[in-house]
Amino acid sequence: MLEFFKLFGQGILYTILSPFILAYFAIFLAYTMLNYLVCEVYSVVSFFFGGGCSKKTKLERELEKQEMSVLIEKEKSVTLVNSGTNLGAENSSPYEENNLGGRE
Amino acid sequence: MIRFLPYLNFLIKLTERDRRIIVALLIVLIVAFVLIAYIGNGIRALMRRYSKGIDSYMHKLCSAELVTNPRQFFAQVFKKETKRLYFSTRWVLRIFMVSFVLFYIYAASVQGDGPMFAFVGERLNDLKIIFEVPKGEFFGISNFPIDWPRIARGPQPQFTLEGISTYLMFIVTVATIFGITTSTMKFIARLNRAKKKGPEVFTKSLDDTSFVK
Repeated sequence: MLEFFKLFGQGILYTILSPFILAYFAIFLAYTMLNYLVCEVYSVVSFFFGGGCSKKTKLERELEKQEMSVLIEKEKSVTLVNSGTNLGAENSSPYEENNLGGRE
Repeated sequence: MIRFLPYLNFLIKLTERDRRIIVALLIVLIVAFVLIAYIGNGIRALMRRYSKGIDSYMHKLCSAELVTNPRQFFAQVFKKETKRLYFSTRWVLRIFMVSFVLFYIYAASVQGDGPMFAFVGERLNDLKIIFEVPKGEFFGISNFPIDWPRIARGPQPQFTLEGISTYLMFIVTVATIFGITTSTMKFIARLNRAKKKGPEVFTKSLDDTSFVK
């Protein structure tokens, strides 16, 4: 019953606040339209200059660069380790595997 | 108590039919408010779900220490969401604009002596469901609804070129309004979350922390 009265009260509250909520929403709706117009003009102009409107922000591009450099570093270290192992394999005796209990 | 006696007397004077109408009106009012509450709560829940959209990209940026304070946090969300708002509304608005231009050209080509979009109102009226409400006298008020409404005329769409173009334009308009409303709601919800979460994630808090060894 208490839950029902709470719902009823919320209904009254929403009804009273609805004009303010709608006004708040209308401001953002106007911003949406304005944003579309500005971005559309910008993307059309930048298209003719060989650019375009990107989905990524400056910081996201920076993050991507950081991630790429980390990946390159990792790849380099993996290559170094692999080349070191190969050198070791070349120098080791072909019979070493047997000594360690490998198949003949 | 004595002051309310005349009202009580008035209520006693009510006929059985009047009492039924009062009870029905009260029930309708209560149900309406409860429905409004459910719709409002539904919209709030939906916006809470939309607001989670900032988590994936902001978590990465904060982990990489590219964003280090609440102001940067909000600015970054605002920039990203402005871009997302454009990308989510651009095709909806482009289709709407192209449809409107085509519809305008058609309306101009079939225009007679009257106004250009006169046929639009007529064709949309054909889609209306017309109700007939039985009315009677209630508390001395004449023409008061005393029973549930009944359907006098159902929708009668006309599949002529005028009708089809009007209905298509109507569907495109409704879809555009829906698309823009959804995108704007997402934008508002995410900005609100950024405003709330920004100070939270960059504040050293002792809540749920223990230094006991």
